[in-house]
This record gives sequence, structure tokens and C-alpha cells, in this order.
Amino acid sequence: MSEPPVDGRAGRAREPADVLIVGAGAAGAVLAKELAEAGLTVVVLEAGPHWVPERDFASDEKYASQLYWTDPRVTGGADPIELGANVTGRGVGGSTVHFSMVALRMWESDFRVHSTDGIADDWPISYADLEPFYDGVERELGISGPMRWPWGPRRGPHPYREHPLNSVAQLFARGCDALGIGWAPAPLATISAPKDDRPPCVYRGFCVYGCSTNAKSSTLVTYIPKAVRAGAEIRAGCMATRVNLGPDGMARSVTYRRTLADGTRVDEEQAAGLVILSCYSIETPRLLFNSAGTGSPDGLLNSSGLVGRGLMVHPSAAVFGRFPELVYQYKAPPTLALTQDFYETDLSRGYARGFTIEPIGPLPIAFARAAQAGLGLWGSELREFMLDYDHYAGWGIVGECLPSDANTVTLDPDERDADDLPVAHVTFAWGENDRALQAAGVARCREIADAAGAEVTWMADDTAHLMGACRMGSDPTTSVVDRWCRSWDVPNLFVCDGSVFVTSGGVNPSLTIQAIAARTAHYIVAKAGNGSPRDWSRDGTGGPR
Amino acid sequence: MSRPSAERLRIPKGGGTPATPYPDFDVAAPDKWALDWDEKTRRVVRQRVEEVPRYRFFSIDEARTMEAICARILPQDDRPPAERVPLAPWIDERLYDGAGDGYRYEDMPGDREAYRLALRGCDESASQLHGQAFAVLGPASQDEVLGRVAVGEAPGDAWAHLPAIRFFKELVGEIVATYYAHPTAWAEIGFSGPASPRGHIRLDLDRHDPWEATERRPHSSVDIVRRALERKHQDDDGAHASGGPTR
Ligand SMILES: Cc1cc2nc3c(=O)[nH]c(=O)nc-3n(C[C@H](O)[C@H](O)[C@H](O)COP(=O)(O)OP(=O)(O)OC[C@H]3O[C@@H](n4cnc5c(N)ncnc54)[C@H](O)[C@@H]3O)c2cc1C
Ligand code: SF4
Repeated sequence: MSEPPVDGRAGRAREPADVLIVGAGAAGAVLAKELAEAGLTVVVLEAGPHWVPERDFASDEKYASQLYWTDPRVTGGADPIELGANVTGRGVGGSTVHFSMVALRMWESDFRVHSTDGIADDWPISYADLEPFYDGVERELGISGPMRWPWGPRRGPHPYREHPLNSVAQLFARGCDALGIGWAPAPLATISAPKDDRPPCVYRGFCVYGCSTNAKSSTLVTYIPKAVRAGAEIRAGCMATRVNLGPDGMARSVTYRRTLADGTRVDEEQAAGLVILSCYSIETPRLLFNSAGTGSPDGLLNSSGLVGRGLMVHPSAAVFGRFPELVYQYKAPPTLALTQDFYETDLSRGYARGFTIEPIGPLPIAFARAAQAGLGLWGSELREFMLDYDHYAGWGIVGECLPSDANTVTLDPDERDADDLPVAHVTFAWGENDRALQAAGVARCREIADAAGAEVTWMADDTAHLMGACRMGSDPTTSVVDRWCRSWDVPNLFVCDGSVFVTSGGVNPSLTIQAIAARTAHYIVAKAGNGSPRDWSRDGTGGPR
Repeated sequence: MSRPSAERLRIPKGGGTPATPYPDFDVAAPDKWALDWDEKTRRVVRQRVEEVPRYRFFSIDEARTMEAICARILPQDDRPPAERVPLAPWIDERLYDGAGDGYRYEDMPGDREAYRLALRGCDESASQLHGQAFAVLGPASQDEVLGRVAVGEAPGDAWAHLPAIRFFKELVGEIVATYYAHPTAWAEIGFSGPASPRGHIRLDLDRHDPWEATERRPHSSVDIVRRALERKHQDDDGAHASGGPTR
């Protein structure tokens, strides 16, 4: 384990920062770079370690567990979500260190689901609001993808050329072609040519276990180094435990527990003019609940009662097919092609909204577990089945999940973590539409596998990507933050991460999370003026809205 | 600290199993060891292969039952005992360390308690069904007990305190994750291993790099899958008619 940099100041009071960001993941890293480059003093608290990919990442499925959020959480409800590796990372770079790099934009209709489909809610922002920030993030990450994107809003070429199709993507394309389904090479956050000091992808396929090649454009190796160069301080090994308000009701500081090199933990406090929480859909609500106080007995920012509500997760069941050819499914990034032919509502299908279909390429442990879950295999049958690993290819959906206030993050009444803080309790159940949509998605996946020549197919349930639980909106009674991610309740406290999602879309969320973060940074810089800190108390207009 | 790069790992070719399609594949062959195993990965996997932990969490009896369970969930009768991939000691170590995977189902106790209950449950089921402790039953009777645990129909008081179906999934998941983390298992299924720093060049269907596994004997899982699907359909009949996400 790499240790957080020791700066000899442990336990001592520090200068107040202009901006304090909690969480150095997809969103936190973007905020840190943009704000530091604009001249603000920025401190970032990150619970996990600060990795050096070439030194710290082994190419190993099991060892990668060090990258995941493995502190205890409780999961329940009618359809409990599998947490841990499947949903959250821990360490500088956050979940982007082990995510699978698919870099898609949401569509125009994703921001207007209520207007277009009469269900869920509209976002307080539109695709057009995010478009310039999508462009900027794609350039910064060096997204590799096709010249022309056949679906959704019209847009120009990706900054880096697309990667070649691996065998799984070739089978996927073969199946799609046979059925007249459109497909395209997948836009990916791994570079196809050198960028800065990073070499291009060498198609090892260990992407979701940390890329020791350093081709993968996690925020750990893109935004974070730039933030540091611009003067941001990344304080790793520092778990925020409480946001403190001053007598004026403004956020004053954050208390955090720092793990020292020898393993002992000390409590420290960092004051700041502006505080941004970027801990993602479980830990952000948890931190807000753990910060309850006089004036906010039900948790900070919770005057609407919506903190922790509206948690979403993408249904992402997959279909695997056995092919006569040798596939060697472990090679290269798992998703090198995809289709969005079934993305928006088509009422003839009997459900609202839709899904993306993406090839996957599980390594042995993940594949064996899929076979266990999907086929109920164990014993000699499982071991014999696994001898056929190199003949399988699979693809799964990223399907829209409609928001429900009954799907929640709360504090568990009994269980506490090693620091004696109440842990998060996640409660989740699918809705009718979610089920119908997933069944249709699985049927499509199976048709594509059959058309590609699969001898037999089977399905494994899965979920992916958390979204929501502190949603944005234009009304303080029905949302936690406004359209700039600024909270309604505490004017100098922002929530900016995947938790602000209003609806889930049918795409992997990180590019949208990062575009939202870039837009929030832009707002803060404009409001702060010439790099100088300023008064964040709510001033009627709330700044350049 | 020893110098991990000094000597390469010796992995039985093709995992040593008679059925493997890749009998001559060695994931740590000299060329691969030099180009596909970076220092960090060598250290991590060498430790896994050579430093099998001793039991510290399970009692002697519990360890014996756990080993018997592992031997049925992931049988390795085709290998001499010394060449079998150790499974139960790693579960013991995880439980001793109190390491988790980041979540607990609300209807399940913590992992330590769950494993203790389950081991007791397997013995209770074994003695009610066959009048003996689980570890001393024959393989067929052991499979019968485990098969009942898998569907939540195992007799015994312990199972009243532990959702058996959920636990069985977790148990198989952990055993499988331990087995397929071992280079012996990689070789037997034709997985090329770490691939760092070299990576792969031939990505096309039906093509492979010279340093990847070459299939020598045809093997197909189609029959296993068809059988499993038939069993599943029988179990599922009526259960989730919507065909949507299940738990
Ligand atoms: C296996 C996997 C595959 C994925 N694949 C894709 C993909 O292909 N494409 C895509 O777009 N998305 C993908 N995602 C989703 C994507 O990674 C997340 O949606 C995104 O990273 C969330 O961004 P975030 O900034 O909200 O949170 P994160 O990136 O998770 O960052 C949150 C950070 O906050 C830290 N933190 C939390 N609490 C505290 C605290 N109290 N104090 C200090 N620090 C704290 C955490 O340690 C973490 O580093 C994947 C996710 C996973 C798990
Ligand atoms: S396939 Fe590319 S992105 Fe994935 S781990 Fe290898 S080098 Fe990194």
C-alpha cells in the first residue's frame, strides 16, 4: 500500500482553503484541476491511498480488491444491490481507477424524461448546457472513438482514433450486421496513441483491475497531476467524518480522520470558504447524515427530505454465447463496440426508455462467478465448464432505471465502521418498467448472440453504476442541489458527483459526472471572480445562473 | 525480502489435469515470465502460491469440514494432494483478518458468524441425513447435503439462523474466486495470465499470440450448459414469470 504523503503537519491547524473538496474521484478530480488552475487554493480530502499505477497495481483479479471500497455497508430491500467492487472505488481517482472506461454522453431526451415520456422528472439542465463541458472532458481524457457518432446529438470526431475491435466485439458486430442493428466502435477512456507522458493501450485486458500500463485515462493520471501542478493539495488517507457549520449557517470546515504512516488515526479539521462533497451516491448521503446537528436533525442539506432518496443503478444483465471459434475473451478493453439502436422510448415495445448494449470480457474469476450465478454451476461441472472459457463471448445492457424515492441510502441503526461511524444502509427494489426493459434487453442480447453463431446462450444478472441520492432540481422542496450543484440549504456547500443525477440514462455515467463537475467549476470560478475568494452567502440571484 | 525475480514460478503444465484442452500451456514459461510478469505481479502471485497461511480462525474440526466442502465445490481429485490449489486456508485468513468485500446483506449475519453457522449447519444436515459428520461422508452424500443447502432445503437448526440459498452463493463465489486466482487454474482454462508489460497483439477472432494457450483437444461445455438450463427452468417455473432482474 502506498502511504499518503507525509507533510509533517499532522494534527496541526492549517490555513483555510478557498475550496475544500471531499473525494478525489471522477468529479472531485475535475473540480480540483479546474479550480486550482483558476487560481483558487484547493485542498482535496481522499479516504483512500494515492496510487502510483506502475508501482502499485498488480495484474491480478484478486489483488485488485485493494482498489475497492471494502469498508462495511449493508444492502437490502426486495432486490439488494451488490456493492463493493461492483459500484465503488476508494483512493485518488475514485471509481475511475477500476471502471471499464466506456465514455458515452447522455442524449437530449435523457434530460427531459418527464417532458418526453411523462414519467420521472426533468433535469434542471439540458444537453446543450453540458455540451461544451463534454467536449472539454473528452479532450482532457483523450477519449478514443470513431470519427462519426451515429446516435444521439450530432457531434464531431473523438480526440483520439478508435481502438481495433477484439474478437468479442467482432462477434458482436457480426451478430448486429446479420440483424440489421447499427453498431459503432466504443468511445473509451484509454488512449490509442501517446498522450503527455502516458503510453497507448497494449490490449492486456486488466482494465477493471487497475491499468499498470498507465494508458487508462482514470482521473488519477489525468486530472489529478494537473491539479497538483496548479497547486492543489491532495490529502490521501483522510476520511471526512463531518461537515461543520458556523453560527451563520454557512459551512465552516470539515473534520476528517487521517491515517498516519504507522496506521494510527488522528482527527484533524480543515477550514474553507467553500466546501464541495464528491463522495458519490452512498458516501455523500452518509456524510450528510453523519453531519446532522441543531437545525438539521435529519441530516445536513435535508430540508427537502430527499438526501439519500432516488438511488438508481443500471440493470446490466449479460448474455454469454459459446462459439465454435476460439475467442480468448480476456484480451483488450472489455467493451470495444456497442449499439444504441434501442435507446429511446418506442411504445410498441411495452416499456419506457431503453438501453445500450455493450460487449464485456470477464477475466476467469468474474466469468466463473457469472456462470455460478447464471447457471447455478458448482462442483466438477463448474470446473469442467470453465475449461471452455476461451470459447465464450458475452454482451450486456446498460439499461435505464427509473428513479423511485423508495430506493434509499440511510444510516444503518446498528452497524458501525472501524472509526465507530454508522455505516450506510442501501435499500433497493426494481420497478415494473425496469423489469420489462431488462427482459427486452436480454432478449436482444440473445438474438445478437444467436445471429453471431452461438451454439448455446445463457444469461447472468448484474447491476452497474450508482446514480442519484442527492438530486439536482430547480425547486428547493423537490431537490437537494440547484442546477450548479450548489445546495439549497447551505449556500457555500456543494454536492457534485454521481449523486446529483435526476434520471439514470441508459449509458455509463462517468463522462456526464465529469461534464457536470467541469460546469460547476466554471460557475464557481465565474462567481469567485479574479481568483479571489468571496462571500458565498446567498445573494438573491445566487450568481450567474 | 527475497528477490522475487530471481526464480520463476513452476506451474504444472496445463494445470496437470487430464481434461484440459491446453495440456502443454505454462503461464509462467521462461518467455512469459520475462515479458508478461512485471515485478509487482510476480511478488503478489508468488506469495499466493508459496505462502499458504496456516489456520487461525477455524477450529481443527471446522477446518476439516471447510476443506471437505471446498473439495466438493471445486473438486481436484485428478491431482495428487500436494498439487491441489489450497482453498480453505485463504477463507480462514480472510475471516481471521476480518476483511470483507464491502457489504453485507441485511438478512445475513456478518461473515464470521455466517461461516461458523454454516459449518455447524453442514454437520447437522449430515448427521440428520446420514448419521455422520460432513467431513467423513462419501462424496455423493456430501454433494447431496450441499445440493440441499443450495436450494434452502437442508435440515438442521443452524439453517434457521442463516439464509441458506444466499449463503451458498457467497460460499461458492468465494471458493471459485480463490481457485481461479491461482496460476494452476489459469493454465488449465487457457487464460494467458498477467500480460504486463507485453500485452497482446493478435486480437482477431480465432487468432492468438504465440505466447497464449493453444488448444490441443476439443472440449465443449454445450452439454453442461443445456443441462444446467434445464434444471434452472424447472426451478424457475412460475418463480419469476416476468423474466426481469432477479435477486
Ligand atoms: C466496476 C466499475 C465499472 C465502471 N465502468 C464504467 C464505465 O465503463 N464508464 C463509465 O462512465 N462509468 C463506469 N463506472 C462508473 C463510474 O466509475 C462512476 O460512476 C464514477 O466514478 C462516479 O464518480 P464520483 O466522482 O461520483 O465518485 P467516485 O469516482 O467513486 O469518487 C468518490 C471518491 O470519494 C472518496 N470518498 C468517499 N467518501 C469519502 C469521505 N468520507 N472522505 C474522503 N473521501 C471519500 C472515495 O474514496 C472515492 O475516491 C464503473 C464503475 C465501476 C465500479
Ligand atoms: S487493455 Fe489497455 S487500458 Fe486495459 S489494462 Fe491494458 S493497457 Fe490498460
